[in-house]
Amino acid sequence: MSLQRVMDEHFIEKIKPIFARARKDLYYPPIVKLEPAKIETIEIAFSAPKYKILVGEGMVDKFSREALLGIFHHELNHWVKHPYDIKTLILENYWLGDIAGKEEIRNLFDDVVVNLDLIINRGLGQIARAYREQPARNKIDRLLRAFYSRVTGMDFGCPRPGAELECEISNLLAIDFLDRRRVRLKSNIRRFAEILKDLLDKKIELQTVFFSLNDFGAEGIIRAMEDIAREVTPLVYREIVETVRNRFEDSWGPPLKSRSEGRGISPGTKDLIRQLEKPDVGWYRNRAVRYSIYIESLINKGSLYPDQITDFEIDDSIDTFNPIESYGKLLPSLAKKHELSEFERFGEILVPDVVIIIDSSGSMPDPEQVVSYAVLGAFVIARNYFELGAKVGVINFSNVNLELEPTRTRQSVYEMLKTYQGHGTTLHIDDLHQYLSSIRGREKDYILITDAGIDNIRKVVDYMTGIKGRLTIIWLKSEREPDKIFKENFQLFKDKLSSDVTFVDIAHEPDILRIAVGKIIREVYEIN
Amino acid sequence: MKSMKSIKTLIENNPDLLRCGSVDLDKKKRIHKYSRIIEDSYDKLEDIAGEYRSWVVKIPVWRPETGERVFHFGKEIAEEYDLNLNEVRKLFNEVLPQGMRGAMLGFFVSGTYHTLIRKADTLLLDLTKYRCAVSGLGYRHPRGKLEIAGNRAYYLGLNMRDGKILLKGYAGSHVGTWMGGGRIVIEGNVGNWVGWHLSGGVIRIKGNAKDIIGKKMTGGEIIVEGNAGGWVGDGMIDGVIRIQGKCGSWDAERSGGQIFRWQEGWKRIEPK
Repeated sequence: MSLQRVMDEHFIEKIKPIFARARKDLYYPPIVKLEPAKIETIEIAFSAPKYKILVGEGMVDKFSREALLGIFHHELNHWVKHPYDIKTLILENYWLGDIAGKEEIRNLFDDVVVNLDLIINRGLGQIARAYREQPARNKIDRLLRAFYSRVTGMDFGCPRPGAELECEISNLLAIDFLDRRRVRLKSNIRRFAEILKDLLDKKIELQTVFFSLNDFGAEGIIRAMEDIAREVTPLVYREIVETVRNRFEDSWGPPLKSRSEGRGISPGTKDLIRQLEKPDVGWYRNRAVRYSIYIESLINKGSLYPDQITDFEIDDSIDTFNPIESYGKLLPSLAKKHELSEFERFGEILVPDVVIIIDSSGSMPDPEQVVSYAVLGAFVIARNYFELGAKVGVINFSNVNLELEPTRTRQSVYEMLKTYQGHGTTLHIDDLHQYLSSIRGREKDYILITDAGIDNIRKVVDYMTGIKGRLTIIWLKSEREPDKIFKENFQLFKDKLSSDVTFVDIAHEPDILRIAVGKIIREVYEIN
Repeated sequence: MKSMKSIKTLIENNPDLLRCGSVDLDKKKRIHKYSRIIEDSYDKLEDIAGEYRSWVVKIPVWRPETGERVFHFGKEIAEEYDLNLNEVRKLFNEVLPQGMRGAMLGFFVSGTYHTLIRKADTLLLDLTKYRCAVSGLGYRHPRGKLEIAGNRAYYLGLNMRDGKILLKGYAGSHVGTWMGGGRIVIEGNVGNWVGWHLSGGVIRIKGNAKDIIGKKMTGGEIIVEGNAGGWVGDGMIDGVIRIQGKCGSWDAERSGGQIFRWQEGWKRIEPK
């Protein structure tokens, strides 16, 4: 056993009981591994698959047992209480906007929340000892120590902060740091930044460990961005993505073009880069995860098979006579027959490919400006087909038909679905016919998503009557009273197309759940 | 008996076991002390006003299309801050007038109350506190009553769908543009472009209306109890316009709709 190993084990043995006590005080957070490291403080390694706590080798000599406990409390409480998750950290950065030194300010803010929570809510005052055992390093440090002392009545090692900081202390005393509701957090961190921004030195040294987004793994950030996408609008999401991108851009270099052009960075990071490269697509993709739609499986019906043995009647067809069960005799009450019944079986494929024909004309909402339920619905449909192993093709129509042949490449499909042309509304029938002829083969479902404000509506309806395959028409009904012409056009679809066609109208986001492919909505949800 | 004995031993060894967790007196004391020291100056409505101010400056050009974005922002704010109708009233009447220029403010306020207002509710808005025009009040108004006092409303009831808007004062241009339902009553004069693209509902103006009334309207009714300017019913397709006072020019070649003038009774002006 090497000397270093022996020293490490000795070190761990000394510090382990303190760490165990800290974990007990905070109700056993799932950070159990303790490791010595060549660092100057104690910190949680967030980038490891299972979080562990790293302890600087000089810590035992530098701090008393109580101070070490306080530092453990502090670091663990970042996990337990605040910021608690990467999402909050990203949002805090976003809320601070372009303010100078925002990473430092955010760290200081998070420290204040954590320290006050330890002392006020949990009655764990050992952190004050940790502060006392370190000298105050700068103006901000003195200010915050004085603030802690005023709030808690404990000694934080800075009894006289100086008269020039009195105004800042009073301003800090007007912020309730323990109110962590979303709107309060946003307001509090901005007010905190406003107080501190003039006191920031060129390079600020923090008493506790400094952590930023770079300390987290790509997978965690992707998950956080997915959560954020579900909570904010596309516009806000785009701005947040911009904030995150700025944080990483230097380390990433130019954007990736394709998966094969990796630069030796981990797959998780590549996925993160892709997620952040197209924030609008990312927003709709993440939002679409919320919804599942009904897709009727392909079932073959119609063949008759022997089902059960019943008595043979005199007017029954002789073809159904069962000589074995009848002992070879055609006698009343003795003769038996096969009762035939229809048999259901699945076809060769469970779910066919799908072609989504989406209207992106000027009368449709611009998916980058407001939430477009047409685009969101299309994403939901595409995702559900992808997950069932099918391919998805897209025709995006406005002035021209933009086409994508059925594929399993999700990103291409999503990008095409989200493309907004914003011009007139003509579904070019010749191009459509050519496209559909070129993709013959596997069975297909067809889904048209439109507000029905189509200029050549009659031609479109005539063409749709000849389509072989399951057709679903999704009408994006305006939240306000729909235009009279649009209403009439949708009615025209209903009147002219056969009863096998499924019609769904969407006015609000929850209506997306009503999308059903291959079956009339009434049958699925038993609406009378 | 044996189990009772073991419970007794357990309690003797762990006296804290029977402490009621919900009554942590020390914690209560600490929180009480904390709330005495922290004089929280947070004001939800001031915070919203600040949010709006910093957001709206990013919008470069005033355009009615931009109103949709501002309206959605208002809806998001109402959801995020969990606003109620009384807070919306206070926000508009007391907080926003302080140092606020109104250009898109009406769209914002319309967004904040859009999902909150119920059929029987009345929202009172005081425009007299604003020194400049406020556009977009009553945008997409869905239900309930909006009662506004003051003279600075432009684009009032734009895209209104239902309910009622009562304005006690003068209105600027574009009252009831793209309106599809509901009722707007103006107890004063209005500017140009009343009921442009009106498709349903009623606009009643108790004072005078300037030029271009009911242009391209496809339904609904406009009643001017005072005098009307020129281009009445220009490009009108359907609906009704009634002018009680003097009337300037009207579109004699319109494709549909009815225009009436009061001449000791309502007289219909026939198109050519």
